[in-house]
Amino acid sequence: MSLNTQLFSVSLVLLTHGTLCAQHLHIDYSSSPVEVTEAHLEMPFTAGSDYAPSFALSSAAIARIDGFRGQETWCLQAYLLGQSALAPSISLAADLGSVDLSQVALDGTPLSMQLESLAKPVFSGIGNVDQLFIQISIQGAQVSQHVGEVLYTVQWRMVDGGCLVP
Amino acid sequence: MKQIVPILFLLCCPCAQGQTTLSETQAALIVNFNPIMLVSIDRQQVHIPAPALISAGSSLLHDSLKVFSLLRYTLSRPLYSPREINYQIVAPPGIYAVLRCSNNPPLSGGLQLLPPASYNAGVHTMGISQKGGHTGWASGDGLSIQLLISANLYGALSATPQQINIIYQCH
Repeated sequence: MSLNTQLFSVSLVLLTHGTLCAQHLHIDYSSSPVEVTEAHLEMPFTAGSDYAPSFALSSAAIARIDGFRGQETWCLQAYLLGQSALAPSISLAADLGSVDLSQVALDGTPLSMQLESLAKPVFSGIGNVDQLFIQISIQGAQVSQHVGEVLYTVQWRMVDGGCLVP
Repeated sequence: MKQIVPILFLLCCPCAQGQTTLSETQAALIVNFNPIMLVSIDRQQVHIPAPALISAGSSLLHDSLKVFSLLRYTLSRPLYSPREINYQIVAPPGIYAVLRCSNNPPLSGGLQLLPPASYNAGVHTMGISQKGGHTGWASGDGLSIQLLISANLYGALSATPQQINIIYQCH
């Protein structure tokens, strides 16, 4: 292999790698802090009632993915950083109605996922996505134990290729 | 070529390991499990007239002075699920106060306070018993209570307004 060929190979790899790093993931919440109120009780507005075992928050995560030039497949993952074991658990569910179906790899998108300390797939997408709404739910909250603000630090990660849903 | 192979391996390494991270970001979400707070209670002023004394030089008020009052309060949100309200009466020297539930049903829907009477020393708890159908205490509801006041010579003959503080705390 000549020196020119070797340099060309290195340049090709560098270019390919550079292209992969050009995509951007943006995450916003429609509102934060999110209020959990008497409307979230299992029997809403009822004295003595506890929170429902699972309830959706009024706030959603909004993901925007840009920088793709074509119809590459990618996977959006999420995990929690430094969460207290006493905090109620939180789960995510991508709202497939918020994106064009041509942007969804359905076989790689879970119906919902519970956030843990290990990254798990949330949504398997194709190409750029302008607005993907992700519904957030709370599980296991109790009126007597969970009072005040709970901070969930969510790490969002986009990887190439579709999600591998177990 | 031998020099290039390690470079190529390093560059391709992420791909060889599996999926490559394209982008990563952190976004903190704050969920506020709304605390129930007793924000304010209306102040009330009670005037004790002189005939309340038995006679000149009397050391006690005639009987106990009964003050019916409506405890008006504002909550940070409607009161659901709490089981009790604590209260503490702080009275000036020579004045004694007892707080108890009035004879009238305190609230529609069957909420009632237990125990029916407590005294002014220390911190007391008014339990809330819930009977079917009540949907909680909406902000601004009134709680009908009765305050019984008695006084010794020092308290009864005081020419200046005396203040009895009742401190409530709900859980």
